[in-house]
Amino acid sequence: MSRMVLLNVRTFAGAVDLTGSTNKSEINASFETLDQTTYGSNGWKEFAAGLATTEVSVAGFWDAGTGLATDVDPATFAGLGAVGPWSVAPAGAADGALAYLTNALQASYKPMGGATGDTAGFEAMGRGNTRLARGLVLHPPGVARTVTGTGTSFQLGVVPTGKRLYVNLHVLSVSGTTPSMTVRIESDDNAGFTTPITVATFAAATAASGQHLSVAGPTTDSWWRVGYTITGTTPSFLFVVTAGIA
Amino acid sequence: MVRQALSDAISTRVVSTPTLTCTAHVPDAPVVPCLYVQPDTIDFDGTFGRGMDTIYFKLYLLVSRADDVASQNLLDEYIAGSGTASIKAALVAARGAPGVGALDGAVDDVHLISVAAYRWYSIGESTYLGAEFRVRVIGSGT
Repeated sequence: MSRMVLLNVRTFAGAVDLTGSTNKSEINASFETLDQTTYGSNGWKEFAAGLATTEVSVAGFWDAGTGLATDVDPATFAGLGAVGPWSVAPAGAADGALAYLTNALQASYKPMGGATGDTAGFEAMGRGNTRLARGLVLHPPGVARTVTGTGTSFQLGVVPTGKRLYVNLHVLSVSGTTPSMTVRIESDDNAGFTTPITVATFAAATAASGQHLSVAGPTTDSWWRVGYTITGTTPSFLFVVTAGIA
Repeated sequence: MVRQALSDAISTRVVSTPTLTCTAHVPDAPVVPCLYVQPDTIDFDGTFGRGMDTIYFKLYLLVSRADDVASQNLLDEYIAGSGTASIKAALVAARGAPGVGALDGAVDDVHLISVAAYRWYSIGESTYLGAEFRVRVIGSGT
């Protein structure tokens, strides 16, 4: 990917697609710097990495929506103080697109900012509860799923010892009668998934919601995909899955 | 079309004598008093994912200059901040409730920012008294 103009940064927090309301999305991962300078440091300071933190912050225009629980304002207000998945895809959220993901505490929400004549603005910020992972979109948001199936396979890589596979599930909309969807993460050693292994399964989703899970390494499989089991009468789900190894 | 929605929003709400004729496009032969809508600037990508564009319109309102005092009095009714003939009042009413789209759902919101250029206007061989209304509209870019 070359340099780019930011036009389509897709940000998902819990069950909400913040994209159309945001014009600023920032991810900040940093380590504490612990001074370890001694007389033997040859005149230069020495540091070691301490604790790491992640912060995801968004800003844009306040959107009251039409009163749905998944509209930006009601959902972001309800999420204040709660922990949930945050995913940011810098250049769209098509299958396989680059994505950063973490599980974060929504630490702040500033709705309705601005002066007379301004377009009402908002800001929100999440503090990561886990590592920031750099990965990709395993399932895109714009494809409604109505029957059981699997997603596209991607070679995300093996999970080494000491690292984990982090996965976010954002269920953006659900319709139908008694709809239920269970999303699982599968791995295999080949793109065709001839011998898939289920490595983790999310709790069944019956409404718009967000979930985060992680799987400890090591793994020998390097190919990954999502599988989804859907039940109900005329069910339909829109959801995003992002995954990364960190 | 947003310019038609703007024209309709004013046409259905403004009450004046004589009746104001509103058109979405610049007329070749205005029937005064008339208001027409002209796009000025468009700012794309106010949010990511084509979530919001901002369009600035200039609305021109022309009245007959047959009588200098009467024409100015009529134009003053249109540029006032309130009243049955007020363009400002009409566009405020056209905003709709919070969470409901403005201009009968055509856009997210509409804002009459200012009135300017209160002067004579020449169209073809005719001269009119008029004013310029600057309107900002925000809505989805798709």
